[in-house]
Amino acid sequence: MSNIHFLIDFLLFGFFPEQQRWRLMIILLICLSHTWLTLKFARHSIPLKTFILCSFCLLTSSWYLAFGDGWLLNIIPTNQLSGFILNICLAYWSIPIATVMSVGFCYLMIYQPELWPTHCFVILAKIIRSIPLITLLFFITLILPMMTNIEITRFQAALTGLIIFLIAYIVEVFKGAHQAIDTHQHESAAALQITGIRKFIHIDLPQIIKNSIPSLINTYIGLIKDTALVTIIGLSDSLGNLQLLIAKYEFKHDFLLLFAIIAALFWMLCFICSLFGKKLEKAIVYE
Amino acid sequence: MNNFIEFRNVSAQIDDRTILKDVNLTIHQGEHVGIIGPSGSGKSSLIRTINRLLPIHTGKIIINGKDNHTKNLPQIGMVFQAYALFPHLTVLENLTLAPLLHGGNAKALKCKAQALLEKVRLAGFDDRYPNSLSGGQQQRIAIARALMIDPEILLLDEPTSALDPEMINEVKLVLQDIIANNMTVLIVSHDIAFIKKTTSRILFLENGQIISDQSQKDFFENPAHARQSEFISQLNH
Ligand SMILES: Nc1ncnc2c1ncn2[C@@H]1O[C@H](COP(=O)(O)OP(=O)(O)OP(=O)(O)O)[C@@H](O)[C@H]1O
Ligand SMILES: [Mg+2]
Repeated sequence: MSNIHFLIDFLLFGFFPEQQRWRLMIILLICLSHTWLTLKFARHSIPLKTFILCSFCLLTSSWYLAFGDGWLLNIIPTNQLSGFILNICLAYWSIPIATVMSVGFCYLMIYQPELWPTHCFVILAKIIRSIPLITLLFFITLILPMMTNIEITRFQAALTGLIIFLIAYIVEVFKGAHQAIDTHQHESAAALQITGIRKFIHIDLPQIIKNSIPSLINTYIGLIKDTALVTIIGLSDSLGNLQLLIAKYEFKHDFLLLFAIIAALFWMLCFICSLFGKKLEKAIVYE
Repeated sequence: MNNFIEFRNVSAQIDDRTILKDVNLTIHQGEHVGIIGPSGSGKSSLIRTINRLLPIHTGKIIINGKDNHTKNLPQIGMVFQAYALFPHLTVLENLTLAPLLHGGNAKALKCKAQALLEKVRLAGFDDRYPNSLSGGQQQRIAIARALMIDPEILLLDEPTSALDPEMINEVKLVLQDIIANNMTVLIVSHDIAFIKKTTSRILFLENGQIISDQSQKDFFENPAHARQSEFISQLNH
């Protein structure tokens, strides 16, 4: 029982170098402040441009902190980012990126349905939605490099897979939210000569976001739990690390506790996410 | 007087169903035209072709000498039965969004919006959201929004039909004020009293055709068509 601290530490941070742990703490802080910033933005406390700029800075600096560049911060190989912090990072990096990209695809689907990229996207999204995430992850790690000569680390494969998977779902959520917009508004926009991308940005998008918050949060929570699947392609997230421990040590009783700790950690993350959703819904009220 | 709006053999279809049949019509600048007819006769469709909300299949619509698909047409404002305000924007933003996107100056537009709000008797409602307003208030905002672009043509599609009797009056009063100047106005309405007060010429539609086109006086005193008097007597009961 004396080394339980060591075990928990291993579940949380895995192989990340001991002296560099402060970088992970800052990443956690960044995640929280990004959430807080989003709420501020939803309450109209900060303007759109500031929000976009801050989001960009937060995302890139968290990435930089995780992997370094060998100049200011030591380079850390992607396979050393492991443990529960890997789950958090995968979720934190895939959610905003996938959401923003979904907005773009949503625009294409609504306003440029005839273009061939839109057709390709629609077909691809249908396929991705109908295969298990694991299949997609295997495809990206194993089959894609064989077919195309692209060198890709397991971490990159996992992140790409999660983003693609998330986009396929979010676009559908957005599409539903767009259909919920009253048709009269489309007519009055046309009568006011607000068309195309301007209409999308100023009239459709704010309502799409508002209408889709509950389903969006649902999708996010699903993704947070799906980050545990990256174990299967050989990344050691919290569950992966637990498996390593089981393989290495014999003392069986502690593992139940460790499983419970992992469950609690995921629960906490999802709980924060749904709390965020609730606050967001409250923040965006037009009355 | 010049021919400001001209329909030349206009027909429109939706899914093989003919909505407008070979409509010919000339409206002069500054004219106020009422459009009545049974439900489904194509009244809304007729005015929606003017600002291209409804595409036409044959014929042409000429506005101020130019096909209505060309650029630099006179501005056309429209008010819908269902208000159709943007719920995520405040009253002020609802008014200024379109002119801002077309390159207007934010400060000037704000002043203009406030002046118009005063005109529709809703001064001080700038920061309210549409969902917190009554139907009559929303419709008056919609009217102000249509006026923000300084329309030369105003299309009103049953502007009072969705309202309670008390609210109808406040909207009618505002419209009567606004219509007084030299805008060209087309009003679809089932409210004969309102049509009588605001228009000088009345079209009667049935099955997508204009079956009578008379001055207001003749329309009620010497109806050109039997259906017309039948319809009017029905409305009065
Ligand atoms: N989007 C649509 N799709 C199919 N048919 C339509 C559509 N809009 C209108 N129509 C049809 O076109 C015809 C004319 O409709 P329109 O709305 O112009 O009638 P209206 O005279 O304005 O009727 P109301 O007094 O009820 O508003 C109707 O037969 C209607 O069913
Ligand atoms: Mg109608």
